[in-house]
Amino acid sequence: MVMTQEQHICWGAACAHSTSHQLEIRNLSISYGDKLALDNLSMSCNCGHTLALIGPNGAGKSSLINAIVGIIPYQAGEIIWQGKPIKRNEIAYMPQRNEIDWSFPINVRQLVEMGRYPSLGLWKKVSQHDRDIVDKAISSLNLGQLQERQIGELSGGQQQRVFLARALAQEAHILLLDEPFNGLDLPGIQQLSQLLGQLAAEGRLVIASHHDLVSAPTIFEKTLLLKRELIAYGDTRDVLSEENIRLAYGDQPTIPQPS
Amino acid sequence: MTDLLAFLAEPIAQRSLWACAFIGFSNGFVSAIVVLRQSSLQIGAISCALLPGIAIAIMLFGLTQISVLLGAIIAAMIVGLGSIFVARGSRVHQDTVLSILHSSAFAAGFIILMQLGLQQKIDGWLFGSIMSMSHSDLWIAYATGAVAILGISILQRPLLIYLFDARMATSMGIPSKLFNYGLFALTILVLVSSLQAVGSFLSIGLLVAPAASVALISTRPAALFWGGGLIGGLGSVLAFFLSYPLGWHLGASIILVLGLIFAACYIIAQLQAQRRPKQIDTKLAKAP
Repeated sequence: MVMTQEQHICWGAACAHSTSHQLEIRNLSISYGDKLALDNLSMSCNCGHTLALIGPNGAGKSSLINAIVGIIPYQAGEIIWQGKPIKRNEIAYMPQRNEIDWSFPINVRQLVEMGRYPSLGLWKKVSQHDRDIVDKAISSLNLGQLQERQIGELSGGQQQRVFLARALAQEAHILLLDEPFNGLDLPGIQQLSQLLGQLAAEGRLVIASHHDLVSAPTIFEKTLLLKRELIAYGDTRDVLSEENIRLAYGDQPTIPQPS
Repeated sequence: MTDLLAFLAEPIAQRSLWACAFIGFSNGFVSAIVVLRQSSLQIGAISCALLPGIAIAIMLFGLTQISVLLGAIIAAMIVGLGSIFVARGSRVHQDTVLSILHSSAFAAGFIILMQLGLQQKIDGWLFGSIMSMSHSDLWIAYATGAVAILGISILQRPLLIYLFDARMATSMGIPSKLFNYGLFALTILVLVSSLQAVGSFLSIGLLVAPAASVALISTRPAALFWGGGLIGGLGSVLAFFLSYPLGWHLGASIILVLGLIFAACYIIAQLQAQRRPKQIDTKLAKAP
């Protein structure tokens, strides 16, 4: 599973201190009616990292993802990417598994090709350049043998890889994944975890909501701990201290689910 | 055979044949939307509920083409939106509300039409009669079909993303809400404009079966549109040639042929699945 470098993806380490490769959230507040989902969140992260969004149910993880992706409006604050308000096509979004209609009559290749649609617009023909990008995305995620398969015929791990391949084909700098480890078996978790690390090492910013406190340190470099507001943000091991976890989850014992 | 040739020489037969081909194609094309949106139950209920709209429009404005068309559209909108509205504010599921709305609407329409003394017309509205469609009826059906095919073809890429996952579409900047209402309206327009061809009882078959057949054997979403159109058009033409010598009702023949095509595709898909050994079974399959 060797990743080939694409031209305009930056290297994480090389741009670690450059604001031009920074996702910055300033004073973000989201509410549904009069119910506050996220209160005055500020953070910033350079590309080249894997970032986990962790917090109890209703902590605002999904709201944050949906706001960055542009699915829900936010009442206050700004989301800045490379110094400018974020544009939609700069993010590849991967929904939760149970939100996908797996019976949809589409095969692996067609789904990955969908990632090219935004840059193709309505009219442009699928060029050799586009086909190369699709080929590369498919082969780098080891899906070559499965190209003609209908997506419902794949295993959970394979399905995740198809969506990652589409994100690669979209050539987006930021990957936003909603609970990607849900419903995967142990080999699937290890494989996906390794993949996300590779994608980040190539200079992408990988952000994922996650609910398993035990596996988080082995998967994600950084963690944003949420409970309607920011509890802690930084390196995963530092953030997931006993005290911080108590702050986020309260005194109720949290049973870490093997995802 | 000579009978059939003599019949085909008549202008009305030729006109009907063209109508079968084109209405079959456009409905088959749009059926991809119904299948991919999984809204066949909703559209089926709405098509049955068109009857009272037509009946009330005739009662108010007399029996003209425009009144029939407008009545049908308004009834479809009321039932479609009504089911969403009632389901939202109550404990029952939208399907339940839809069933009640459309069956009672259908009953009301039937009573009104009987009271108006239009017994002979009822058959046509329920089961369709391509032969008796007027020139302007046909042109309305052709124009609506052409607009639908053109619109869907132009917007195919964002439409597919939307149909696959509306949230993802929104994240890419596609106006999902607009697409939702637009597709609903487009489907209703196609349904209503071809109502006289296959009738309100049978029209749902033409708006589901073609693309559903393709979905069984293809994994390319684009194939559902053009393949659905081809199956709809060719199936209707085949039904035309069956119905005359056998003396079968044309609208019913179309739906029956499409049903048989679906069954054939199902069998093909099953055979394909059997021929391709599953990954786990590869070792077993090699054993003598």
